[in-house]
Amino acid sequence: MASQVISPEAVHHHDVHGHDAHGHHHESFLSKYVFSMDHKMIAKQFLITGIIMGVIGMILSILFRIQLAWPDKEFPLLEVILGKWGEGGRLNPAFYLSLVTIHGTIMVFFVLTAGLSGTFSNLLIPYQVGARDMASPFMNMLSYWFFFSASVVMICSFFVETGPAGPGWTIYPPLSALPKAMPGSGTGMTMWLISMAMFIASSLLGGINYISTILNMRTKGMSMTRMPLTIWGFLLTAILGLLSFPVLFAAVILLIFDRSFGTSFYLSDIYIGGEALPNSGGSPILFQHLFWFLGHPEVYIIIMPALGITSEVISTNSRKPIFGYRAMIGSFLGISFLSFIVWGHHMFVTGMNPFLGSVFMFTTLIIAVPSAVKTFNYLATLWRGNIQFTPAMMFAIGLVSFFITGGVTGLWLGNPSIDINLHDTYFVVAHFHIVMGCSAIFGMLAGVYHWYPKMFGRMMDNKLGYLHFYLTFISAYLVFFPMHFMGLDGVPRRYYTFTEFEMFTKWIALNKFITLAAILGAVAQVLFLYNFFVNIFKGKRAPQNPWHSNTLEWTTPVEHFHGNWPGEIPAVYRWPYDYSKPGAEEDFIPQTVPLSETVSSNTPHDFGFHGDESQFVHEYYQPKNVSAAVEQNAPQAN
Amino acid sequence: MSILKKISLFASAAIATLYTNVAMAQTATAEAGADAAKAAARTEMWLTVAFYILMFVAAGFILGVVGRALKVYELTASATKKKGLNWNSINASIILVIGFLGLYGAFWELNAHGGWLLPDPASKHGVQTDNLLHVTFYITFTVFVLTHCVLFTYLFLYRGRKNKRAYYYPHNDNLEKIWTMVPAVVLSILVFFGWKTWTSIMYPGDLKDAIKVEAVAEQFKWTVRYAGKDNLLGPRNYRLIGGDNVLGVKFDDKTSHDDFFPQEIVLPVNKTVQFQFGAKDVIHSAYMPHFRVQMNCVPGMNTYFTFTPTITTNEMRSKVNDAKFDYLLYCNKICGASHFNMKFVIKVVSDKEYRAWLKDQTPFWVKKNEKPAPAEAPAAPTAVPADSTKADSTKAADKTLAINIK
Repeated sequence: MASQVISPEAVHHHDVHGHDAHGHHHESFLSKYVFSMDHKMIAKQFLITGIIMGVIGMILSILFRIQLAWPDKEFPLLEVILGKWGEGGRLNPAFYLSLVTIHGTIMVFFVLTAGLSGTFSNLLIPYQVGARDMASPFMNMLSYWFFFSASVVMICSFFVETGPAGPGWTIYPPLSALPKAMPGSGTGMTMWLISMAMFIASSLLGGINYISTILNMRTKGMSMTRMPLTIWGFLLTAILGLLSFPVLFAAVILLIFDRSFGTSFYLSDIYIGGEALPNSGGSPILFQHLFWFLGHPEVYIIIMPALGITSEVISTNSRKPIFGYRAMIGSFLGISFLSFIVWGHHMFVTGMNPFLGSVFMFTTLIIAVPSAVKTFNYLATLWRGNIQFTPAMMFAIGLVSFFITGGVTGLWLGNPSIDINLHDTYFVVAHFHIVMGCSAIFGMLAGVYHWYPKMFGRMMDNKLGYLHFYLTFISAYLVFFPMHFMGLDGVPRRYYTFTEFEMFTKWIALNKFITLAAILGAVAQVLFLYNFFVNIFKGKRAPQNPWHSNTLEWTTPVEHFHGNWPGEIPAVYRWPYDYSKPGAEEDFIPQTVPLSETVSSNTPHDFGFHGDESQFVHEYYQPKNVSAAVEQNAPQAN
Repeated sequence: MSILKKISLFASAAIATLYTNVAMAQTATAEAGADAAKAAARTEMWLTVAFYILMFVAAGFILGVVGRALKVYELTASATKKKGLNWNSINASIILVIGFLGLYGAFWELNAHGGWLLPDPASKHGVQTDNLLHVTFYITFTVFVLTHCVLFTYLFLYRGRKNKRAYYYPHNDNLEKIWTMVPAVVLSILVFFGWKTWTSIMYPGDLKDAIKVEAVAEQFKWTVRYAGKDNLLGPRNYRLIGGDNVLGVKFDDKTSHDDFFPQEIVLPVNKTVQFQFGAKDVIHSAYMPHFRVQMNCVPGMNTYFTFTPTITTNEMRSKVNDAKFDYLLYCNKICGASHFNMKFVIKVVSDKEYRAWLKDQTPFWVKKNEKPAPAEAPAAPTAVPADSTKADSTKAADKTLAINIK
């Protein structure tokens, strides 16, 4: 084992090894930190950009939450910050919709797609499959810079006269196609479309890279079924993105044509602003089909990397193999496949043929099966574990909780007859914020806490991490759980105020409560930001393998350099989940340890033998006659 | 601690800047009294901002002190070889407590807010919908509670301890099969009943006798049209919209001559009504939650929803104990700045009241032709004699009702 782990000192002999072209680099600031082609640096770029976008998205949400809680109150500060959009200390109704729109767009695409998938795919794919870098580092760099430009354009749309895009993050035409329909469909909308086009380019460049790296550049011995579940998550995520993002691109292009070149893909029979438009023959529903053909896989693009990260973190910190590794891969495959044929459940009440509603109900409810399998497997992994409560582990547990809570309400909404009344209400808001927002962001935070030592060579503060977890976990539930009840009372989403309806006045107190909880949650993120940014410079130096993990990334030196491993890339001899294996010296056996070194703990399974154990003979296998008598919980005798 | 110092330094600098701003604002606006009041309001605002910043800094400071104390405690513990804080146990216990408090909170809220939800469904299919919803609720809430109990209990029972080893248990095919099959079976049941309910709602059968009502949405109001005595809605063309023809109804088509535009929707109880929805500008959604009805209104195409109201407004008023209660139709698809304010009242009344109401409604075509030259109205008696006079049209309305009663 020791021979496989490269000590940090080896870094200094790096050039002596001269293993390949990675030898001499005179990196300038520009090529190291800005236009970097190194997967680790690009991962950090994605992460930090994602965090900044996340903070922006969160501030936007606090702004509109304040409006919902105190619709009749004036906040002079709003006018100071927002100018004409906060005239008289009151949020402008059109700007409220813009806030909602940009909050959704930023969170879904910029934080939970690029920030999550972009960060951890880039960081972990080369590390965990044993590659020196991505298949195409240049494309990887382009991917980041497209993402960065998309972010800049999206933020810039706050500074145009008509304000940022406002028709909701789903930008349904004709609302988004007609600048006359709302201020948010003017220049802001154009910028939204440009930004998204760049974002899609970024996503595709990244995705192609991830897939080709995983399929082609695995180290010796790293078969597909020895890959950590993180990599499976990233692989399938990238495939989903590759197949579905182009459809959104098509939808966006057609919308640009409708907006700017007088076509009628989505427009027909429209009378607006006192005149009948000439457009005819188009269908607004077509856009929804195209949008949700991306939109639904998109929620799995968001959640699958988080699930992969969670699998890894829960297994490592339970000191147990992930339960049902193959079932986990199977459920990933099941979810990926089904995610392409469920998009219609967003459209049950659009006037779509009811027969299609039946079909989509069937596929939608069936997708709950692989999701349930995942949940049960997580619980089984915890069972009789030796659970280490690192902040990463706690966030992973948070994901499991949110995934259950948000998942079960999916069964309500996936059933079209129930969806008739819950569609577009606060029930939906509660559902997707819990299952996609909270779950995914908890998965992302779990990843950040877990791989921070790998990214920055320093440790984050655990106690701040605990506090961050508790405050975030509690406030997230306090914000979103009560929303179910509002939805069941028929309270619609995207309403600027509920004061116009007598029947909604009873919820005003609850709205205030939700806003206060949201502010608590936002303040709690300051702990994270402090912990994250300060410890980049001041944190304790990280050991090489702080969590006693099995995967390949922890065999690389703490200090980063091009090529990841000095000397040879280590070969892989086993799956990544040999934790607490009976007969082993320690409670983890890294993937790089050959079976010949672990004779005492090998099982027939390790040699691909699945029959009667007493029949099995191998030079590295020691039959365990007393195996039944081994008390697993007994102290390790060593 | 140095960072805390820096933060407080920064905060005080910020506050100082704010005060200078305030001072400048005051000198600039000293001329007018109103401006002075404004400036005073501004001062107050900045004071509030400063207060919250101070609170924030203070909280950060307290946190820093607590953190420092913990560190000192742990250092002395390790120096004196005493057992320090066992964070695994602490966190496992906190999660256990928070978890079960949270579950209690969920039950508490079911009690507290469960009674605030929509009243009993006021339509025939709504009862089915709600049954399905209740079944789904019981199933999912049980799953939610059980899995969470398991989760929090496991976390506590199997919290990490020194000298302990986890149980190596990589897979169990039988368990996997069980928890694939059980959800699959439960979901199949939900799928089956969901499908039954959905098809019964969406394929309502013979609609010849259903009262035809059209609701057309635009920014930011509803226009409602009844089919009138022939129970046929006249066709529309958006290019004809203009003047008083707000929906672009083709009045050269006779079926439109008896269509009328009421100010509120009135429906007879226990009669099937077929709504036809349309939109003039952008997508809206016609949402009538008390009837468990929702359908999008899409420009360029008609959508439909058929249902049967079963509870009159008056009955519902006494049921929910609110004399001002009304059934509402409102918009539930983002449609622009005033999306939040698009409601239309629906009244469900007895059959008798409905007939009386129908008598008061005058078709648009009749009204239009009455006004400029009442004498001209009977000019086309051969075409539609029933249209021309009020008496005839009420008779016709009775006829429609007769059909509907059957």
